[in-house]
Amino acid sequence: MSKVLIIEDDPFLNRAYQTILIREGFEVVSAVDGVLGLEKANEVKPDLILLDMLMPRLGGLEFLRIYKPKELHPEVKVIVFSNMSVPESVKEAMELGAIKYMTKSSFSPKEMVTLIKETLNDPA
Amino acid sequence: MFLGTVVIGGWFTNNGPIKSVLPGATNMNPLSATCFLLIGLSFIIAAFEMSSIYRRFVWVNAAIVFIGGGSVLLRYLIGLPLYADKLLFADKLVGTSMAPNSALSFVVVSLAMFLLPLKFASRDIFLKMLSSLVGLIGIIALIGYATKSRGLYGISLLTPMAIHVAAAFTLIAYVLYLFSTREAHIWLSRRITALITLMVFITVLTNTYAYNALGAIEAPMVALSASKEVETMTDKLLMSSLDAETGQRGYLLTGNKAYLEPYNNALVINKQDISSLRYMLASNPEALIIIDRLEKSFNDKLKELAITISLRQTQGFQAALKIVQTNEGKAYEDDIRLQTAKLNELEHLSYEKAHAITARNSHFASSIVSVTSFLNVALLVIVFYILSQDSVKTSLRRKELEDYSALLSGQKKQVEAVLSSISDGVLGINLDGKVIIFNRIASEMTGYSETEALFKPYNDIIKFVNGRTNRPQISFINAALKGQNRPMPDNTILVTKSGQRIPVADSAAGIIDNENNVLGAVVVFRDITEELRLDQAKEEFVSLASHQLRTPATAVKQFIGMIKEGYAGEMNPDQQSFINDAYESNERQLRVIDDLLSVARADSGRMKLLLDNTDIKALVIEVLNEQNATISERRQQLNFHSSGKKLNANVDVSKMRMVIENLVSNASKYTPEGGEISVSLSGSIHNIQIIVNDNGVGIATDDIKKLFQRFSRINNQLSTKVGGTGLGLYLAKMIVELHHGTINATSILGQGTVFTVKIPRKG
Repeated sequence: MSKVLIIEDDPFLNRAYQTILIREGFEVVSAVDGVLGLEKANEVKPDLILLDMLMPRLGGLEFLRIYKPKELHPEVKVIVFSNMSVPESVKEAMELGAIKYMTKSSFSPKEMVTLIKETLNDPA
Repeated sequence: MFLGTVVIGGWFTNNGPIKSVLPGATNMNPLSATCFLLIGLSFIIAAFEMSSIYRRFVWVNAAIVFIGGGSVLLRYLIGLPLYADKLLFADKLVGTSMAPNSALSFVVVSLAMFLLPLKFASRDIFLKMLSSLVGLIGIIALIGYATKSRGLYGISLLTPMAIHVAAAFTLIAYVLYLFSTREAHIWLSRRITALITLMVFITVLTNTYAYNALGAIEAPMVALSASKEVETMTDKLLMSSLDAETGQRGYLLTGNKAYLEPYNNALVINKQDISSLRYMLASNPEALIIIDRLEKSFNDKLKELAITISLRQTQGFQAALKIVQTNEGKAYEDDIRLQTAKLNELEHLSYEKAHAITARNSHFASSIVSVTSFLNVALLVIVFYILSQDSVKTSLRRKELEDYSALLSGQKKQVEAVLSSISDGVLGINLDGKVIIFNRIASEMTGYSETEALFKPYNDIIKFVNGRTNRPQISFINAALKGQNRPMPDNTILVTKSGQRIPVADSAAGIIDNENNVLGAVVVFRDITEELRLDQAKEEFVSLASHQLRTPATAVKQFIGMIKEGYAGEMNPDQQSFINDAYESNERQLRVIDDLLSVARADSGRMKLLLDNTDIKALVIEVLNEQNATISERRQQLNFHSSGKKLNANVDVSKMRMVIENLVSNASKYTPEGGEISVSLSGSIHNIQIIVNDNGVGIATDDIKKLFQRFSRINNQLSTKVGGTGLGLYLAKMIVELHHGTINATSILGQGTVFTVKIPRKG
């Protein structure tokens, strides 16, 4: 059973993702901003994090700068799931250790599930 | 300014009384005098700049002076056997050949005369040089005369320069100097000089004539005294003959030899007086005949006396008396009386004649002097007239100039007001790169005052640099200085006096006159800090707004997606259909938001590329695979063809994907069901070409132009069915062009469309 941490400030989307992933059999933890996300990440040690970019208190990039998945948590797969795709942010997020940077609006529920499963199964 | 006096007076008086000014000084050579006359005339003509012959006249004179002076100079230098003054004035050249320093001066003056009618730039400098040389020679000679040192006015034992020649050269030098300056007052003084010269010339000419005429007043006096003298002499002759006869009679009567003294005196007087008379009246042949006759009678008389005296001595008184009684002696005496009377009469006549001539001459001379005085007064009136006219003209001209300068300063003020009111910085520079216009805003922005900036090299005042490299940004100004109009390159920063950096934009243009000559460049610049800030704010707004729009739309997508994908259980067919439509609408909404964001970014120039070496073939195949479902749904045939080569290019993958997606989905959308879509890929060394071809509805020629415009949607039979934002091709073009590539479309209405994208491999 893989553990997925959803960090998403929009309550509806957060709920939608939770619902879908729970239905798909994942163990789901969620947080509504980067600060809570950090707490949860350290607490539950997820296999995968779905990370939003624009969030109050602590945004996605700041989360990555502190969480440092590349250096400190190489076992955790981070997918940035954002509607903001400024090239500079994409570049930085990837450098900090995000595995994928996706535009969330282009994924239907099933597509998102496929993406997560593929990522988890990917040995890299 | 009595140049003409010396020049023409010297020439004229070569045959008159003032060949040399100082007693014992060298006479003026007739060739020199001629040359001075020609020079004087040339100066007068040149001063008036009369008509077209003026130039030729001055040049002909210059040539004569050049040959005259030059030939004499060559005679001194290389012993030229035939020189001008010998040729022209051989009979008068007694010790007055032209001096070598005069000859040199004439050559120099003739060169200056050649220059007089010309108007080239350095003429004045040449004239000044030549005039200095002539002046130097003249002044040296004058100093020579003043200090009585012959070494200065003459060269070794050769003919020295005459004093009035030296003075003339000094004056000529001054006139040449005047010609070398072109100010109006000099021009005025030239004309007046010419007139005064003319006056002096006339005065000298007429006065010299009058002098000669009046000089003859003493002629009748001379004639009178001559006639008196002749009378005295003839009286003396007559008396001596009578005395001799009286003495003879005494001797005859007494035999006393003491009575013979008058006779012996007469013998001596006779010879002396006759020869004196001959000498005095040598010029009068008539008188000489009378003198001959007188001498004969006198000698005959003395002979007769001698015979009687001798008879008295040898044969006694009676023999002598016989001879006396023949009365032969009386006849001789009468003839002497007659001849002396004739001679006196003749002298009296010549006196009368001389008196008559003098009376006539003095009358004529006084008339001449009166006429001259009248002429001079007339010329003086003309001089005053010219002076007054000139002062009237000058004051008129000054008035005109004042008006004009008032007009100009008014216009200048207007232009300055306009320039300073322009809210952009304006910098004008001339071809030397010096600042000639610097308006108020330019001054405020740079921190330099107008006074500080004007006439300084512009790059000392205005420093435009490239914002990234910090290198001077001057290529657009250089282009403007060649007459071109150039926009200021992006990211230009103005570095101010205090080192502050202000982002600026605008343009530079050549300043071009009516004849298309480039006079300089004008650079217009404005502070775009605010514009940049607004752009940024706009972009932030758009991206935030689109984020805010997208988030709920994405949530809708997820929830509807869950229903659609069965997370909420089975649906009946109606529910299925409604949910599908809701899902599609939500998808469209999300696309519009995406496109709007991209356009906003692209418009503000903030669309940035993240270039990566990309396998274009793989990318195209990926897009085609994604869209294959839709295409198959529409039962369209999809052909893909690619040259086998590796087709890599430096592109922004996500953006290039948008372009390809857009072209393929458009091809599918605007091709009826069952149609055909072909995508082909090819590559050259530098470019990669993607061609998307369909046999769909096509586009009318007029519409092709609108194809790539923002929010343009072409009406055709399918466009109403197909949803679109009108931004897809606009964005595609923008993205391709950001990659330095090209995109274009060709189409035949009803037959299909071909889109060709060309992108450089290097990005």
